[in-house]
Amino acid sequence: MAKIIHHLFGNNKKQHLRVRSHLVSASPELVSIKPANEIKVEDVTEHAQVSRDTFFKCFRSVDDLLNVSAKQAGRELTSPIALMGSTILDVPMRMAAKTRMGIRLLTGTPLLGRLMLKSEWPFTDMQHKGYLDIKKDIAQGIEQGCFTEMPPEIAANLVMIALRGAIQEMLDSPQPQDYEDQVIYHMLLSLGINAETAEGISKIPLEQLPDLPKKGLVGKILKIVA
Amino acid sequence: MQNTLIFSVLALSSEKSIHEIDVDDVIQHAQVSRGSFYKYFPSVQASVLALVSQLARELTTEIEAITHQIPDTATRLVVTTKLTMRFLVKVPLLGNFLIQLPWPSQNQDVNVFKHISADVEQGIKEGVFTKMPASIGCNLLIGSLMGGVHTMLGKPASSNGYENKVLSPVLMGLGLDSKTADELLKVPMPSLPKLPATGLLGKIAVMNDSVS
Repeated sequence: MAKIIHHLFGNNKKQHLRVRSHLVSASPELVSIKPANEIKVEDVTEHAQVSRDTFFKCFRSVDDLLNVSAKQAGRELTSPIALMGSTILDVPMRMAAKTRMGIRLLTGTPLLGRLMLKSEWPFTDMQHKGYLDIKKDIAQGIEQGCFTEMPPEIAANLVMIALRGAIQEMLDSPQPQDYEDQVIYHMLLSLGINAETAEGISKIPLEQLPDLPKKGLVGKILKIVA
Repeated sequence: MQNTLIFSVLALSSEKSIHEIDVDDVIQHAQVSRGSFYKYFPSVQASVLALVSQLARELTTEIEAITHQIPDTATRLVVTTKLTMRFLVKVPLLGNFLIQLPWPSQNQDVNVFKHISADVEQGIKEGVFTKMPASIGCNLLIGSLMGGVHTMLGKPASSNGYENKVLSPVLMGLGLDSKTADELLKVPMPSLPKLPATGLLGKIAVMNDSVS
């Protein structure tokens, strides 16, 4: 049995946060060992060398831990994608390109994609950096009249559905070569872009992918798969 | 006995996440021994799956009894989806459980909305919707449905007409023009099915009655 090196006794907040982030940073290895759905509390406690009691002081369940980790990885990916997207002035084109970057990065590193799929659905973290970034593009698109006026959470969901759906389907089974294009096309239609424009935009190839962060959870996953 | 156990899982799912329910919770709620639980299920996860397939069966039966006579695929899809959303919000125990299920998932065992996916697929085949891999249309619809139910459960007061706001972009995404989509969303809605006397839904009815 592994030695327990992290143990929470009292209510020391600082220590609590430290162990919490220690557990989050252990999740890349965990998802690389076995499918996310099969990870048990024992796997986490053994791998991260914490007691069961300590684990439950930080997270309610393995799913809770993976959701927090997935959202953390999502935050790390938001900046590079948003930065590269910011060079595209046309809102629908930017939306399409950024969604495509997300799909490409997450299916390109399946381990990362699998972790991201452990984030909650329906998404409730309205202050999440990635969510706010999507909302900002949508608000601009609605303001400019290119997207249909609709409640922001409905529109943001449409983008996240395209992303999640594509990642899940592409990771689970071989899809037609233009699957990504079609996902983008239907996302644009749902946002209110007319068929002709949507078709044109959905065929624009992605010129460049942003570099993935070297640090954080994403960096850790890249090191594992390297 | 099996129904008693999975009903306990359902009842517990509104108090904590389905990933956090353990055997102790279930046997305490159902007031049975640990041995009885394990006689029926190897794990809580297995009991959740049994609950899902039972609910899928019952829910589909109730909704389809109303919608199966609608000949037009797109109309049937819209009415079915709206009825399903309303039903899940009207019976929060059901809604709160179903929106916790993993999505998207290729595991057909956890797809409660097979009756809706089937209509999306048929609509694509008939050319009512754009030709596309069925998974794209199904994900768009089911993902939106779950998101919509979640929002409606959170603020029921403002949920009037919210289904249409959710569904309108979905129909456009499936390739309908906005005029057709609007007309479909205006189709008069049949009233919600009453909870039946039997099965898990029957147990919910009994519980609701004792509360009110």
